[in-house]
Amino acid sequence: MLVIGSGASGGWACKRLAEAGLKVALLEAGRPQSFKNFTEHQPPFELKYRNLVPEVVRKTRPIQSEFEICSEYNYRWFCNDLEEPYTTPTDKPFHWLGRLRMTGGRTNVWGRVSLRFSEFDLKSADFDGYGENWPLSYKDLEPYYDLVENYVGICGMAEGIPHLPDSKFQPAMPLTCQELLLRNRAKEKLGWTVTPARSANLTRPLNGRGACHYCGPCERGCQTRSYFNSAFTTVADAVQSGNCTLISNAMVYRVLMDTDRNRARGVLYIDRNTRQPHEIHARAVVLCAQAQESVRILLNSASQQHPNGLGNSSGVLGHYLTAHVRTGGGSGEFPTFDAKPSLGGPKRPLGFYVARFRNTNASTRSKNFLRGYGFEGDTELSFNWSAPGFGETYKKALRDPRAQVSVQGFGEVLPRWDNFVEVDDKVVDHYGIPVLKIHMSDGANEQAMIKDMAESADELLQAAGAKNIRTFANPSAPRWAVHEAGIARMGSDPNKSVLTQFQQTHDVRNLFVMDASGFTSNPCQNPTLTIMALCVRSCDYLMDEMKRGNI
Amino acid sequence: MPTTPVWSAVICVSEREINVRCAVVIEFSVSEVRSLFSVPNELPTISTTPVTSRRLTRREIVQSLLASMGALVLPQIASSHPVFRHLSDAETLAKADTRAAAAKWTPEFLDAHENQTLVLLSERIVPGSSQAQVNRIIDLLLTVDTPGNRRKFIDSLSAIDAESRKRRGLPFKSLSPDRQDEILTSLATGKPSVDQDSGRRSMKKRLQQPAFTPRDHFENVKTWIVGSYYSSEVGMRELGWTGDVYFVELPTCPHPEGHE
Repeated sequence: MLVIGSGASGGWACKRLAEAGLKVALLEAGRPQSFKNFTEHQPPFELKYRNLVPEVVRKTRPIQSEFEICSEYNYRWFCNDLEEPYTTPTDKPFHWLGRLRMTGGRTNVWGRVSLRFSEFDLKSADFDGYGENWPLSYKDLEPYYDLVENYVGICGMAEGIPHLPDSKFQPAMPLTCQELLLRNRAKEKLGWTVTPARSANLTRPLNGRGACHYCGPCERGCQTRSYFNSAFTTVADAVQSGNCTLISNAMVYRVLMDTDRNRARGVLYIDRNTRQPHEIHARAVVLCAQAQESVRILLNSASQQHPNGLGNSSGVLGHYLTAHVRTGGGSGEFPTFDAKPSLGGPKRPLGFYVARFRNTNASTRSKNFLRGYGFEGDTELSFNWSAPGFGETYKKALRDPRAQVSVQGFGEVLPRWDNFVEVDDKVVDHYGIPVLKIHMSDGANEQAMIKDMAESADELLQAAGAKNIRTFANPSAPRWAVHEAGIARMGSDPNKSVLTQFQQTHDVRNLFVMDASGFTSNPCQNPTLTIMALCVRSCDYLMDEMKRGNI
Repeated sequence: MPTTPVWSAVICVSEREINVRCAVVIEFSVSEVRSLFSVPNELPTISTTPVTSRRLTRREIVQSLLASMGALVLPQIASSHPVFRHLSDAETLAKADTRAAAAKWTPEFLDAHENQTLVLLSERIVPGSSQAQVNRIIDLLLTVDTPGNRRKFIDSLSAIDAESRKRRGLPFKSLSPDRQDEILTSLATGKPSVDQDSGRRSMKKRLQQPAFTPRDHFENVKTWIVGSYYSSEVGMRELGWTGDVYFVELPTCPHPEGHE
């Protein structure tokens, strides 16, 4: 078995397959991860530039540093944008962020919000007539959500919302006073649900991992392994089983085919350190490299038999690119309720979530757009950094606390043909691999949704009595988009889709793509939990098919 | 089960070119502790390229040992244990660092006049700045910042001198502290080019770079000083930082009566 990529899906694929006794080679484009690289406890004055000069990071990560969690602490985990470029049309700027080059991939730095999709999401075309339904139902996914959650550890609060199913939760982290106020008023006046963020942070020990110790910056690592990072969970398990070999610094170029039997026989990869090409062979190939990277490999695998890219007999490979829009929201000031800001003390790793409230049924239908969005939010109890004056007066005024609650939308993007990726023949990366050209822009639906985010943020904050409310609604370009999906969509019709409901390519039986590439639509919930559940389900199918002799 | 040698560590922070010696004896073996709490020694590492083994420094070993202890079972004990305190005593290390570096420090980006001005200015704007050597960190940061930001900083220092010369006929550094405060008060109460409080600007105005007013120059320098001071150890401690990183729980709402 060959698994490409060691993030959320790759970690699960190698764990599931290796623990079942299959021999797995896990190819990861980045370096090995280590507890020594973790800096979550390091104060800024121990850094050379105290994380105060963005230019330090921008020099080699001009794109990656647009993602706020890419800092002087951890920027070496991210790809060097100068070495691994991509292109866009000049009128469609696009920030391809969160390109990690470490074991664990994006799970090293992810936001950890973990939300289930519902039957309503998977069959959204039935509700509003737009696009395609998923070729599977919630009932198919449910046992796999349970399985994944029991291992990953998701803290949160059950709310019984039909379109946002509850997970198997560990106890939730507490809401702040401001958030409790917001929760009560939102429920009372608007009927909206404000709930503690459902996140992959342990609040109870699990499988030898410790409960969160509330130091704060999860994106810099965790000595107690309390957030979910595949480097120290799924990948570690797979390696420990004795059946999985992790091969680092392996940039996969293309899938190698046995043309006589129309089977994938392995992959060609470039060693990042030596720049030497290597071939590695296997009975099945599972791509888990992140949506664009997996599709780039398929497009770069074009051959005489598969002239438009491997798995692309339908012609839809690379099309229907989606990613969340999140450029609408707002903030407002709240009473401090006697809380005092401090640079010490415990820090909550994540805030709260407002469940989708638009287009959830006939009575909440919007006239202006289809689908919906949730809000991620947080309370910031901060010093008054912008206090006027200087000297002791300033130092004193600084301590006058501010409590601000902010919310930011995460909205569904409709899958559209003209949002797509292709190979740019004119540009190669430092490893000689042709790069992607990404075409992505907001449609009218997204524009209307972003506008609505600002309006409903205002409504929500007003309901809670916030002062000095400020809202924003900006175009998403060049985008903060790390939830890319849909460019090798699943479907039951091989003429309109790339993958089956088990993420197996329609065209090649032993070739699978188990990351978010397969999402037929990209609901507003954060995708990682579903990526993991789908992946485990598809691995079980793969193993069944092997037993039946079909692969 | 074979016993690994019991570990006695004398912490000598030699990699920092200083001679802080703190004798600490750890009376259990690394592997014993690790097996007790089932902490993996390392994340899985890999096969293709052989990993060159770097010897851990004693400090690293003890710190990671303590971290994993605290992590898994006894957060509150570990973080308050004297050993932990000693090892995490960044203040001691920072002081020693400073001492080691102090004698030969010269600014790399600023010239002597700018540096002297900055030392005095930072102390007036955020008292304690000279002790925290805010001028040195700012000089370092400017060496790696963008040409635009460097230029702005120098311009702002010049603007403060200009105001000083205009009012008192002398550069800022030659004035008494009271006179310096008088100059700063005048700058700090001037009109900013952008009304920061309302944040309301048309798109057209946002795209234009408004010319800096004297108040803007003051705010620019102040932001650098505030950022540098409160990211120093002394500044962070002033605002509640203790170095503790293991906490058992988060505070919960203390208002059963509600928030009306």
